[in-house]
Amino acid sequence: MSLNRRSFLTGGLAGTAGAALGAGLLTGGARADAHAITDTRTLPPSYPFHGKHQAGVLMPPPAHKQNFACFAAFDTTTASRAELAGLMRALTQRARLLAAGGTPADLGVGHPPSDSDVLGPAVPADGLTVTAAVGASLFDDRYGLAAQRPAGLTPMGVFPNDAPDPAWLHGDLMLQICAHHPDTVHHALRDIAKHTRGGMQLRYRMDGFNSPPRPSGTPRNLLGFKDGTANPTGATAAGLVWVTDTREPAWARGGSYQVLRIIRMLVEFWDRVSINEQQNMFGRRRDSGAPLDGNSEFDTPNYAADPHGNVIPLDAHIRLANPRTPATANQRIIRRSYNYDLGADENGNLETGHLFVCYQQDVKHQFETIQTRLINEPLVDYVQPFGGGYFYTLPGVRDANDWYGRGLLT
Amino acid sequence: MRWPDAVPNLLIGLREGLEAGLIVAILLAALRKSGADGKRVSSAGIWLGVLGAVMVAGSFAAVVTFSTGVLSSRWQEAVGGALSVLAVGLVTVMIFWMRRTAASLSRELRGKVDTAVSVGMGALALTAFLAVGREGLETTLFLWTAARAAGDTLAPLAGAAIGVGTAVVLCWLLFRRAIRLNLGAFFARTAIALMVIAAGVLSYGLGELQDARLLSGRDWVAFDLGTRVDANSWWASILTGVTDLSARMTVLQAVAWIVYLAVVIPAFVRAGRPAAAKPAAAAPMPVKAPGRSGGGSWDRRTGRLLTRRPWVAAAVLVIVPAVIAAAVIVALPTAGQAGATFVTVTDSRCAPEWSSARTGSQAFQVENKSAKAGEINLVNASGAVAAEVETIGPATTAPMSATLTAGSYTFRCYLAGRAATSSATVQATGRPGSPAPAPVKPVTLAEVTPAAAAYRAYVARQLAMLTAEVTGLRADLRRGNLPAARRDWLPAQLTWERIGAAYDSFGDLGGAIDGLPQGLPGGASDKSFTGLHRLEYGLWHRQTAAELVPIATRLAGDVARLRGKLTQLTIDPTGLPLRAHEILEDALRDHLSGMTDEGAGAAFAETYADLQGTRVVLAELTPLIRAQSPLLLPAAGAQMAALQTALLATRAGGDWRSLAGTPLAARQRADAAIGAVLETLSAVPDLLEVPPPR
Repeated sequence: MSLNRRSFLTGGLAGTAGAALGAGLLTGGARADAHAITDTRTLPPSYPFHGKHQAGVLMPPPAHKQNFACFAAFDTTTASRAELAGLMRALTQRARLLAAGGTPADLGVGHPPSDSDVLGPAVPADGLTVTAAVGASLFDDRYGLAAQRPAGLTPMGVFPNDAPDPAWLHGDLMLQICAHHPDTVHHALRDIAKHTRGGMQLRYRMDGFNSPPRPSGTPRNLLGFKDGTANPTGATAAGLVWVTDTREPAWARGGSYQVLRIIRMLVEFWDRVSINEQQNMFGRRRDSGAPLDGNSEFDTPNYAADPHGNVIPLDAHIRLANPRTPATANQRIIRRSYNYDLGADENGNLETGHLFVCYQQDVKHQFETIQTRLINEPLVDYVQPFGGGYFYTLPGVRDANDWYGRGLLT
Repeated sequence: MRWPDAVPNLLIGLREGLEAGLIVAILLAALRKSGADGKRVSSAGIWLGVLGAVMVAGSFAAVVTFSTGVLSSRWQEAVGGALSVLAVGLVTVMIFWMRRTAASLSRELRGKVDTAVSVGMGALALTAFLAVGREGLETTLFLWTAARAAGDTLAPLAGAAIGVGTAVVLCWLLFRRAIRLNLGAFFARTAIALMVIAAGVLSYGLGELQDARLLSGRDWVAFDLGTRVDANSWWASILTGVTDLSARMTVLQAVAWIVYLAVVIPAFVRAGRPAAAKPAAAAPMPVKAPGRSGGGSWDRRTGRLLTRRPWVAAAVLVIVPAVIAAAVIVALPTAGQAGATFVTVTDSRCAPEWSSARTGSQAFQVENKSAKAGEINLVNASGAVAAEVETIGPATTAPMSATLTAGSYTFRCYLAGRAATSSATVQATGRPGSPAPAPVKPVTLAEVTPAAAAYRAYVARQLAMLTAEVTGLRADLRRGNLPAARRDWLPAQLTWERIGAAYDSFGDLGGAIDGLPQGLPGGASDKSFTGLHRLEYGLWHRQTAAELVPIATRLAGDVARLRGKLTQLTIDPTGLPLRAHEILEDALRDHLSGMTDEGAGAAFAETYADLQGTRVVLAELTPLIRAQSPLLLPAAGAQMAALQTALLATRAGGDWRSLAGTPLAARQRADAAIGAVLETLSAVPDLLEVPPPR
């Protein structure tokens, strides 16, 4: 009997020890994995190309956006509206093929290879989305499209504190190319340019990357702050983004206004600013992303309880950008921003910053209203917006016979 | 091939083979003893069972190998990992089972034989089948996982074959009582080695499961010696080969390895003590249990069936597993590479495997088994090349892809220093698929030579013009008339541009006439910066006429020398098709980027001259291009016209402007137009490729 109890105890102890060891190893492993580079194998391998709206705006949603992006502005060089339509067809065809992935065409021995093989012999979709948008300049006198211009599509103006560089501004066409890996983004841009050669010419281009959650929650921008926490989601987002206004030309329904602001961040200067000042400028804690009156990232700041800005200063970025009042609720935008890193400037400072991207139904009512509130916010000393523009994201490509801007050009 | 990788499988093969062999030996011995009672029973049943068991194990191995081959890498990791852990479990249980029950097994087996004999040969076969089959499945699983862990197939398989072979010989010798072996000691000692191997396989399997994300901790690394240890060093390959450990291990892998050995070895040693105390006489040969056979009535019924139709039974036992395995393998979806057609090239034979073909896109693997490099073409009935491997090294395998339409195709093999060989001509059949690219008929040297000769005559005329222009330029400078010299510089430069297709045939003289300061130690003030761009630099950088006269004189001399040498210069005729796009590639790279501008701002003018030069090359090649691709020249013609328009539109009031002085839109139109032309013209060199002399 005592022997049985002893063996029972021994067995129990061994079992417990084994279970504890196993559990410890697996938990430790899980924690180590979480700290390692995000595993992209769990990301969706592809996103559908056809639909009422283009991919790359709300699909995947900004909170799950692909980690790498390229914003490429083109000027069209086509001589006529018919040629422009041909260009858009070619663009659509490439984007459709690339978004699905597959084996590139075999051109035989009488031609250089059809594909660069940058992604290997079988091109993976790798979560690629190509989002095509048009700039106000496309509606000038070249193609007779002036009457079709979306009502709110103008060239981006200059805001106080901007440092515009014409080489980095505007464009007839804006392609937002996003994917899970930078080589996929590069390959897509290269392939599209090859197949549209002669019809459009790259004007400027900026590659962006999205940081993984550090350590959790919304990814951080290069000022070290979580960026995109208060982004509307789901039906709210859809209601703020897709153009439904009957005053807009019929072809434009289902599109969206895109604002791209290429903003240099003076990170060396920023890093010499005290943490209190940094946090007061944003209105959030840098470590957790919590609003200064809250405990965790997704707490809602209560401005009504702080009318004089004792906790969150009245000129803090989050307070000016989104005052969270009923009157400003429909001014909200959907941000889908990326970081960029270009090397160094001639003074030896990092040439790095932020590709601010937002989508909305009405630029004037949404982005410009917010941007106007942000004029002279304390943050302006540390950032220099110098490029980008306003673009109109075309309605989605419905099916295999549809193409970008068909409603506009036919 | 790394021989240490053979060690684990050698040991497993030897040990498991010996176990299975001993079971057979006991059965045979028991049968003989039963036979002594007067009832003679043939031993064929036992051998039948053994054969069936081997077939089952072999089929299992084939299914496992082929089925994992078509899985995605993640599923391969998952299945491989799970089977590894399963194999370790089975082997561990087997080791302990044997040690605990070794003594009674021989007796038990003998009892079974007695019952079997009373039923008939079929029951004997079944007994042998079950006993050996279980052993075989276990062995197969373990061999397979060990080979996977080694990441190699040849050495582990060789090891297993040597092990099993040795075991068979040993069993035979033991059965004939030719040798004596202390089997107890043998099994006890190999058990320890087997456990070390099993620990390695366990740790490998857990690693695979982590890679497949079924277990966490893939990135929790205990150690990674990959950068510090040369994995190919002899001691590292012995260590990794024998233990199946790798240079990088996660914490889970390392802990599992240690814990497994720390638990299993002491337990094994303890389990052995009472067993050793038992009288060994009862069982000189420790043997594993044959397992619980089915219910007695089933046994008997199957047994009767086997007895009445022994040959049918043999066929069933042998063929059924093979058929099932084949069916499973055939039913599996084919993997991407599995569809490749494999052909070989030897010194004397060209693709002897080429016997059937289908239409559509397909992949080939071409293996060059000769010691010579060569070129492999797949040509159609008219001799046009549908696919090629431009260069295949000796003893290498190269992939080749082709899209075939209905028609006949032949492989042509051109090995260096050997006569060309051909394969059989094979008819490609199948549904007419998507349109295939047109095969390309190789162009011969004789066909391009007239074009090259015509081009040489053109170069001579251009050089005569250049001579006159340089002379005029020098006269301007001698007169001290710099404005006239600036005016006269451009035509000379453009004349030179128009002969661009011969640029790299001129050797040092080309550099002397049209060199650039880039890459010279002294830059623009370097003594070896001479020629047209040096004059440009001086004329647009406020140098005096007196300074420039010697340079103009030198240039006139260089041009004269070039003209004198022109007849002896070898202009490679096969290079001419390349120039069809390279002249404009250079214009885009050098002129439109501003790299060659030494002050005159002539980028667009130079590009315009390059376009004229390209037209000359295309005119010489027109009949050849038209024969290969009738649509290319009309397309290129329209694009060149657009380029010409775009270039001329960069001018203001009939004057060429510098790059910086030209509006962006005009520049973009020129850039877009040259890009479009280049995409089209890039096919010309491929269409007019002249095969190297053989």
